[in-house]
Amino acid sequence: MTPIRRLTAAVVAGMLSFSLVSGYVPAAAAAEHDGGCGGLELCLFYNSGQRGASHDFRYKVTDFGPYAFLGAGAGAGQSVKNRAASAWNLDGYFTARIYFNSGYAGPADDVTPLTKRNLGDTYNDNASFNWCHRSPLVCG
Amino acid sequence: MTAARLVRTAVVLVLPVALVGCGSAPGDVAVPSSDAAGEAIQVRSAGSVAPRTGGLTLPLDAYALTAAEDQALGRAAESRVRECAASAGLDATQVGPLPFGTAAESAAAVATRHDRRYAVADPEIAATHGYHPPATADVRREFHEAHTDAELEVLVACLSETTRASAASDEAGLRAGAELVSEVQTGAWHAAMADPRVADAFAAWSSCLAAAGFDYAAPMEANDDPRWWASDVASAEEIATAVADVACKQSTGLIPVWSAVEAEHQETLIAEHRAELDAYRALLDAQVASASTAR
Repeated sequence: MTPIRRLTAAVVAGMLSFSLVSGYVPAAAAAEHDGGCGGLELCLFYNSGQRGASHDFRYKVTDFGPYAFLGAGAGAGQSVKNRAASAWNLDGYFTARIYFNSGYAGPADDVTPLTKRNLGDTYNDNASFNWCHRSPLVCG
Repeated sequence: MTAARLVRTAVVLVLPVALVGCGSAPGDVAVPSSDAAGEAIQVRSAGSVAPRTGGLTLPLDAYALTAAEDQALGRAAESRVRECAASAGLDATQVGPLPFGTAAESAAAVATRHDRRYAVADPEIAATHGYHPPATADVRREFHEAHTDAELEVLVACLSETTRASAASDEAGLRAGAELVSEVQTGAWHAAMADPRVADAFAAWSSCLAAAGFDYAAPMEANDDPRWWASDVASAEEIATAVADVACKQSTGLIPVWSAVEAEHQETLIAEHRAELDAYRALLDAQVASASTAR
């Protein structure tokens, strides 16, 4: 092995352990709507504490109706609309704002960057979501 | 793997340490007294009854950033992100566009932030889009689509660290304050829904809509009708319903009543949490002051 190849191998190994330790998944590894939480997505879960079946969204959604919980856990196959109990925001900058009503109407719960929470007001009452700047929560 | 990528990876790893040093000390910032915050709330709530939601302000807006404050934070963050990205090996052409709005975009976003709170309220929007929100610039999607995945890794890490640095000494306090604001917002919403004045206004609106041939007990039932949301585009029926809905909102004066009652309940809840909310406002003010002096 040449010195350069040895160096490359060492760095690749280092990066892999960084990914495993930090939980950071490169954006390229994550396709939305594939049931895997990664990259810059919002994941919604059927049960509290980020348990049960989930759905991963990269971009805003005016109505959760057409999206089903994926995988084999509790709630799999059911519509995400009005059935999410908890959330995980994997975006490092944008806040996910989850609305009580369709089309970003009515009151909302915020999931701040890189946090997990059980939904409060929108627990089993989630209809739509948008991404917002962290301050002053201006949504796009 | 390229050499540039190795450098970027290394820099991303040390960012948390490097950027903490960039934040300015919060101790040298003047914060307004709680009296000043109280006055601001009264001034804002006095003008809260508007014929449409356009430009509506609610008492809780006193605990959000103004457009000018947003711009001050945005400009400071943008220069930090550019420095961070440059030290991570990105050249200037790889950094833009970043997800920071212009002053005009900030002003428009703040002025229209309650436009969909009571669902569709504008006759022209109802006639064009029904209950669907009009398409707006999606700065996040533009940001993602303009960059490679490798660039995004660096830029999102830089944005994240910049936000952390601008939180100065009290990231936990800022988060707790934002959560309290969110709780007051939802609490006042449901208190308004249970208020007899809003129930009466809904009844008048519902009768008006029934006369036009549409059967809904409350505005959010009309907004959330599942028939509208199977498609990204409004049907003729959705548009007809939304047009009649907005006409009834206007003729019955629904939104001025509803928003004034919601404002009252916000003020009650704000009074119950005055000390915590004022402490949160002081943290926001310190953040803005620190961003303004950092440039």
